[in-house]
Amino acid sequence: MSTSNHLLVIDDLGKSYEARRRGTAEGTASALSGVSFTADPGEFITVIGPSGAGKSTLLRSINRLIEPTEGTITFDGRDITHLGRGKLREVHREIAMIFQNYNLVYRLTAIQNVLHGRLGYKNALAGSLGLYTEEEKLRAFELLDEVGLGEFAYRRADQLSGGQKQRVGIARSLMQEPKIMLCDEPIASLDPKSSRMVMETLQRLTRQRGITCIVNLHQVDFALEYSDRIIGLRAGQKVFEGTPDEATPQVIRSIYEGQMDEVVDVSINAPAAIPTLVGEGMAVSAEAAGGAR
Amino acid sequence: MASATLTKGAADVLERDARGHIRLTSVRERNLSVQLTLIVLVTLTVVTFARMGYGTVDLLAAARQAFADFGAMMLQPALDPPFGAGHFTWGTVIESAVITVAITAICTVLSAIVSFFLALAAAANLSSPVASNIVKGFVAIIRSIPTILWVLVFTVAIGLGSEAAVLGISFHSIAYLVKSYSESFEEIDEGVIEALRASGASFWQVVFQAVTPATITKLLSWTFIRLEINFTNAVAVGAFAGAGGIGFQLYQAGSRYYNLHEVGVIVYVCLIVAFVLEFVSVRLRKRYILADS
Amino acid sequence: MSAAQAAARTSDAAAPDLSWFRRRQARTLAVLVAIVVLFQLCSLICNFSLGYAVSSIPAAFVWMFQNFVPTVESLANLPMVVEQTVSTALDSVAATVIAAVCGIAFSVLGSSSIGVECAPVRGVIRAIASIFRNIPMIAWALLLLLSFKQNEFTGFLALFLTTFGQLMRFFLDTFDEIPTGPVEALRSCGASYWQVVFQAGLPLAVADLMSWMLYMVETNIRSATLIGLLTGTGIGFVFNLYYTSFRYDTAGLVIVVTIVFVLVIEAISNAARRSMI
Repeated sequence: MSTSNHLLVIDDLGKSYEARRRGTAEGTASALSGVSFTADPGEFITVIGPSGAGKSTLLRSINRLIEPTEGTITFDGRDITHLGRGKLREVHREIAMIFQNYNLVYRLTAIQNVLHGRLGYKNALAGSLGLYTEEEKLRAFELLDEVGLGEFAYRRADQLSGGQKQRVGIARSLMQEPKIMLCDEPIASLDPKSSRMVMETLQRLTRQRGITCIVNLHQVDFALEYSDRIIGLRAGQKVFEGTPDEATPQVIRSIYEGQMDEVVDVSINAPAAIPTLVGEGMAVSAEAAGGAR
Repeated sequence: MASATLTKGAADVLERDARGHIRLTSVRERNLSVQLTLIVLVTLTVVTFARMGYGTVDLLAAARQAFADFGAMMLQPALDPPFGAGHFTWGTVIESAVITVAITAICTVLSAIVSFFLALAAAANLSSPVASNIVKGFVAIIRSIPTILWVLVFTVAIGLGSEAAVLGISFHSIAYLVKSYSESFEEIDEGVIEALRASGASFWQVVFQAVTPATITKLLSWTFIRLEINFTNAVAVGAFAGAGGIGFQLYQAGSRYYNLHEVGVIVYVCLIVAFVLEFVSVRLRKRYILADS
Repeated sequence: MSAAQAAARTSDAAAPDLSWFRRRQARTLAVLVAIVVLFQLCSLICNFSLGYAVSSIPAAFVWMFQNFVPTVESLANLPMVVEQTVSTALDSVAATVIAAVCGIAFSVLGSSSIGVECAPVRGVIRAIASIFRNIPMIAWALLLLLSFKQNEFTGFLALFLTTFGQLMRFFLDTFDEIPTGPVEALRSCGASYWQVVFQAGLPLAVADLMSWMLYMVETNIRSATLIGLLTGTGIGFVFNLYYTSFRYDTAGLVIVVTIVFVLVIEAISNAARRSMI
């Protein structure tokens, strides 16, 4: 298979941890193993699965915030699995990331947080001192405007609501002019209305720019609604890949099936997941299955 | 106009400085207290250096000698000749260290017990506003008097000895712990206390069934921090209280015999005790926090 | 905590028998007995009598109020006392500021959140901070007295060295506790090390760093008193001078002025803290 056609090629990716904790069985604990998939420009892909299935590990392995222990990552025709620190920084500019907890610097203004997206392009001194060009500043303003927060540019990040913070996060990502966006549970801490707003903003802006979007989601209904393609993860392995239409209630159930058994090894890489959200996801899938239970 | 691409709301918000550059923080909403505090502190520092008495010594030569002395102290610690002069034996040094630790322990236990009850009176959510303010005011005054002055006062009022040292250190320690404890009490969820009161619990039942369990980890944490401070203080006042202890030996070695090698040995003993206390306190804190959470 | 332990714990709490409560009571009792025994042992070691100490407190306070009330004659010394207090307070500020300037870079590099990647280097920085903090103040003062002789600068240096150690601990704790999220976010968009420090680390920590500095200014006034006793400067020296020559009225005046100064400085720094949040 030629890799040059795809923006991102994940091949046989795996991550295992040395079992260091007391009371854990000997050997290694595997958080992710043998995951392969590809992503094309402009695609909107969601990754679903029970908490602890390795969704967060997968996403963070793609841009190597977590170092994968097996497999290769090819981004834009370039193998980045073993890139050194300096080269990795260049790659990071083109891979933006959105987080569940927004991860804004809460003491700075919205506009300053958006401009952080430019840091990868700036030299150490100018970036450290926060010296941006007028074009960059105006661009940041425009992006904030685009996510509907132009009037909040001078608000301190901690004065914004959750949904607003996440939209600042999206603007920060777009400021990087990325080719791909990795979103780690972007709406897990939001109410349904803000969630919808964030998902719509995300979909609209990435589609306009042809940016690939890979989103970890707990909410199956959102995944079915927004994605071009869905990847199902269970116990660190890919158990499903297909369009929303192919993701039948049976398939969804099989992804989440027996998740209580799977939770044994979760604590190692569990994102700060909220159990009720998994419950909600379950409720939706059960409902979709016509009250099969 | 470059800002023509912005919506009206955003364009209205955008501020430019005198040179036409886009601002990253709003002039109107700017909080300059950090900068202001820094400027005040730095100005005071400059004033201090301008009016400070530097004595008659050549500062450069003195600095060189101080480094050499520091080397002698830390690199060649010795009690016996050739470096030491035999003023102290290991027996006396260890014994005085044990005495200082004993004084530290007594002060900490005494002040923890007294502070617990005073803090109940000082906590706004457990006590009456009048009592709370009286105790807090009283404690603030006690805290503002340096430990060494307390010790000196008690040495004359009740005579030289361990009692003067213990009382002197404890007064300050109590003032510190009452403040810390009462702040911990005030952070308790109001609902817990209310629920117990509603079910007809008496004041002491509320204290021992709700307040103490809810705050015990914090109280212990503060107590252990104070244990370390009390040791430092016990060493420091040792020279003046007439209670013996390692501080007195240190003062003798440095101020009467002028032997830095002996000072070095005593400093190392102090360091070891301080490290052990720190280690024990960190371990205990971890253990209690784990056991109670 | 392992799942097995957790399960054991919940089943304990749910079980109808009261062994969990009994064990808890037994543990509390054991801790109390241990504290009493420890207290008695320590009292024996340093020849401390709790009864004598407690019973002499009232007498000590009566004595204080009889002798330490500033008299009219002592008020003549007020300008001198105030001047010495001001210089002690200024020394405290200067020692804190210089220690903060020296300490900030070390504590950034040594912190677990935004420190250097090499763990041994962080360990060395933390060890140095710990040594500085735990060398007794008296040792610094005596050491410096030998070379710099008795003057205000010596007192300042001693104060600076102890402040440096303590402030490093507070700063390190502050940087250790900053949220890791924003740091990760900046790294993920390609920010370099110093960009992360200046654009995430410092903004997230600045309020706490300032708060610790103000706290050090307050505590340093007290430490400066002790150092002044040894180096013959500031209020410590003045207090000792009048105290040892039995002129308690002026010594009392020193205490009153110190209380006023510390309370005022505390009030100012509390106001500054509140406005910084």
